[in-house]
Amino acid sequence: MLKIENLTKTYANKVKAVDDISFEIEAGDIFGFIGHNGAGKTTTLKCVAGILEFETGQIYINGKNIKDDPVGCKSDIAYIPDNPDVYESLTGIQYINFVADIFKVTKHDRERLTEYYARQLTFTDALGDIISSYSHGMKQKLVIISALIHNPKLLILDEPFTGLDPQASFTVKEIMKDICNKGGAVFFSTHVLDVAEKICNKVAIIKKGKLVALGDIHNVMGDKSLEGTFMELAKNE
Amino acid sequence: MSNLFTLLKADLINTYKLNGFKDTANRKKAIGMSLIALLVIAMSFLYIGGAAFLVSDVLKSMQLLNILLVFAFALPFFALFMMDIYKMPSVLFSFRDYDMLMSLPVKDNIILAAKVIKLMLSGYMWQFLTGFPIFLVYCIKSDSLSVFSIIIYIVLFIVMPLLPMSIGSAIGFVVAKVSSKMKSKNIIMIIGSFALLILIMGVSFSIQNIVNEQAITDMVSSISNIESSFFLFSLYVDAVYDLNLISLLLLILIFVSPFLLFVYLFGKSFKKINSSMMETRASHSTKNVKYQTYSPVAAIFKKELNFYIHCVIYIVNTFFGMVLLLAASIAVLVADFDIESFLSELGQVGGNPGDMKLMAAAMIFGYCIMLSTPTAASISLEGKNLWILKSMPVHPKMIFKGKIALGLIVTLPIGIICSVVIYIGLGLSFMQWLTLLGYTISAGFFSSILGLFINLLLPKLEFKSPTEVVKQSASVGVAVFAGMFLVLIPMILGGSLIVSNSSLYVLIVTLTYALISFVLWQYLITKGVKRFAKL
Repeated sequence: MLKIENLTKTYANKVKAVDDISFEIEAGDIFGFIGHNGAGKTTTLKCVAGILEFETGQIYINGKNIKDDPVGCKSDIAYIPDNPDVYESLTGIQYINFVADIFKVTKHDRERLTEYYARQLTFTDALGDIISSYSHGMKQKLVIISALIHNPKLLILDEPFTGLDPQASFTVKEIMKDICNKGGAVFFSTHVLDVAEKICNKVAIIKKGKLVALGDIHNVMGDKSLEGTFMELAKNE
Repeated sequence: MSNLFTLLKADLINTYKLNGFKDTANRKKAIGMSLIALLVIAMSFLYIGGAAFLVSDVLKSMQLLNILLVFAFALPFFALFMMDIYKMPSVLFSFRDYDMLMSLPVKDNIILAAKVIKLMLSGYMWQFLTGFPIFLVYCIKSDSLSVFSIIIYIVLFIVMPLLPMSIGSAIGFVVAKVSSKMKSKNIIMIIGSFALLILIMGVSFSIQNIVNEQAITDMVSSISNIESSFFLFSLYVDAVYDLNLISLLLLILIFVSPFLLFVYLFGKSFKKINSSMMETRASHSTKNVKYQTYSPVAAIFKKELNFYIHCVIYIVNTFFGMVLLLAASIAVLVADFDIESFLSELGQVGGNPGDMKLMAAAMIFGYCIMLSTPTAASISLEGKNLWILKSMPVHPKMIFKGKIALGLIVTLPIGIICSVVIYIGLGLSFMQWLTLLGYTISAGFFSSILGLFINLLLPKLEFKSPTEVVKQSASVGVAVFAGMFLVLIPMILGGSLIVSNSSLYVLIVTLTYALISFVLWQYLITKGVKRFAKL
C-alpha cells in the first residue's frame, strides 16, 4: 500500500527533518507514527501526501511513485492535517462538494457517504453552516468527512484525535478499523500512546528525523507498555 | 497604570512588528518596512506640503493665508473620521485578542484605555502626515506668526483626534452592529469602501487642480464660504490665527466632551457589547445542504469566487479599477463633456492630431483592467489552506485555470459592457469598437496571467489577515506597476509618435499582450507547475 525508501527531507536551514527513513505499510495495517514534537512526523506525512517535495528517497503508493505520478497517488489517499485549516467562507457542504468534485465522486456516492459519516460524527445539523462559525472540533470532523468522501485506500492522519469529543474519537477509531477491514490502510501520527497501543498493529518511533524503532507493535513494546518503550527510547540519546 | 503600559506596549510591539529589529532572521524585513514608512512620510510631506506651498503665494497675495489653517485642520479631521469608522469595528469591537485580554486579571476599563490610546497614537500619526505639512507651510509663509499660534496648534493637535474618534466609533459601532445582523453585511462594507475611495480620488484630483491661479481664486471664495459656514473651521482659525482663547476653550470642549461621554458609556458596557457582538447564531441551516457536481476546474473557480465575494478587502482592492471604468464610461455617455476638443488638445500636445478616441479609450481600459488583478494575490491567499490543493489529485494547471477564471470574471464582463457604452458615448466606428473589444479581452487575459505569474514568483503564504496579502504583498505591488507600465508605455508612445492608424496600433498592442500572455502561460504550465509544487 505504502512503501517509503530512504526518505530524506532537508529544510532551507539545512536541518534534516527526516533522515533516511524506510518502511512499508501493507493493506490492513493501522500504522502508528510516534515521536516528540519536531521529530519529523508531520514532515513525513506531508511528503507521503504529496504536499512537500523531498530531495532523496522514493515514496510508492499502490506501486505508483509520488514523484512520477502525483495525481494518481493522491487519488488513492486522503490526508487529514493536525490543524484543520479549511476555506472559512464556504459552508460545510460546499467544502465537501468541492473535495468531491476534485475527486470526481458521483452525486449519488457523495450524498450517501456524506449522510453516513455526518450521522456517525453527529455533524448533520452543521453541514449547511458557514465554516467560520465552526469550533476546532467541528472543523476537524468536516475534514474527516471530506477525506472519506472518495473511499480512500490509504488514510493519512496527523494527530487525528486532537480537538475531537470522546464520541467522535471513538467513531474515528472505528472508521480506521473499517478501512483496514475493507483492504485499505491507515498511517497516522499521534502523541496519545494509549490509543496507538490499542488500535495499531504496527508502529514506528521517530527521533530527530531517524527511525529508532519499527515493526509489529508487540515486537516493539516487548514486555513493556508503548509508553514505557517510548520513554526509554527517548532517554537514550 | 503599569498594566495599561504593559498592555499598550505589547499591543504596539505586536501591531507594528517592532521585534523585527531584534530578530536576526527578520531584521532586513523590518529595516525594509521602516524605509518604506520613511518614504511614505517623505512622500506625504512632498505631496501635501508641496501642494500647500504652491497655493500659498497666491493666498498670501490675497491676504488669505489662513485658508491653509482650514486645510491643516480639515484634511486630518476628515481623514481620521473616515478611518475611525472603518477601523473601529476591528479595534474596539470583536477584536482579535479579546479572549486573551479579558482572561487577564486586568480591569475592563484598562483594556479599553489601552485600545483607545493605541487608536489615538495612530490618529496623531495621520494628523502628522496630512495636517502638519500644511501647517509647516503656513509657518514658513506667515509674516506675523506668533509663538502662541504654535502652542495653540500643538494643544489642538493633541485633542483634535478625540472628536472624529468618538463620532467614528459611534457610527462604526452602529454599522458593525447592524451589519452583524445582516446576511449581506459585506455589501455595506464594499459600497462604503468604494464610496470612500472615490471620495479620496476626488479630493486628490481637486488638490492637483488647484495649482493654477484662476482655479485657486475660484476655490478661495468657496473655501471662505465653507470657513464661515462650518463653525469648527472658523473656531479653529479664530483660535490659531487670532489667538482667541474663547474659541480655543470652545474647541477643546467640543473635542473632549463627546470623547468623555463615549468613554463613559462604552466603558460601562464594553464587555456586554463585545460579548453580544461575538455571539454566533445557534440555529442551523439544513436547507442549504445541496449536492451538486462540477468539473475540477469549475470547482476551483467556484471556491475562488466564493472567497472573493466574502473578502471585502480583496474586492475593494481588485475591483476598484472596474468600478472606475464603469463610472468613467457612464460619465462619457451622460456628462456634458466636450470630448472632441479635449482630445484635440491632447493631440496637439502629443503631436498627433488624428483620431485619438480609440487610443485614449484603450489606455483607460487597460489602466483599469491592470488595477484589477485578483490573481496577483490568489496563490498567496491560499496561505494555511494550501495543503488542501496540494494534497488533491489535481494537476496545478487546473488550479491555475481556476484562478485565472476568477481574474477574467472580474475584468471581462464589465470591460465588455463598458466597451459598448464607450462605443455609443464616444461615437466610435464599428471597427474601432471591435478593436477596443479585442483589446479589452486581450488585456483581461494578460492581467490575469501576469498576476498569477508574478504571484508564483513572489508568494506570501504566511499572514495573519488577507489585508497583508492584498494590500502589502510584493506580488500585488509588482503586478499592478508592471501592468500599468505595460499599458501606459505603448499608449503614450502611440500618442507621441505619428500614428496614422490608431486602430492598427491598438491591434498591434492587443496582439502583443496576447503573445506575452501565451508565453507566460507556457511558463506557468511547465516551470510554474514545479515552482507550485515547491511552495
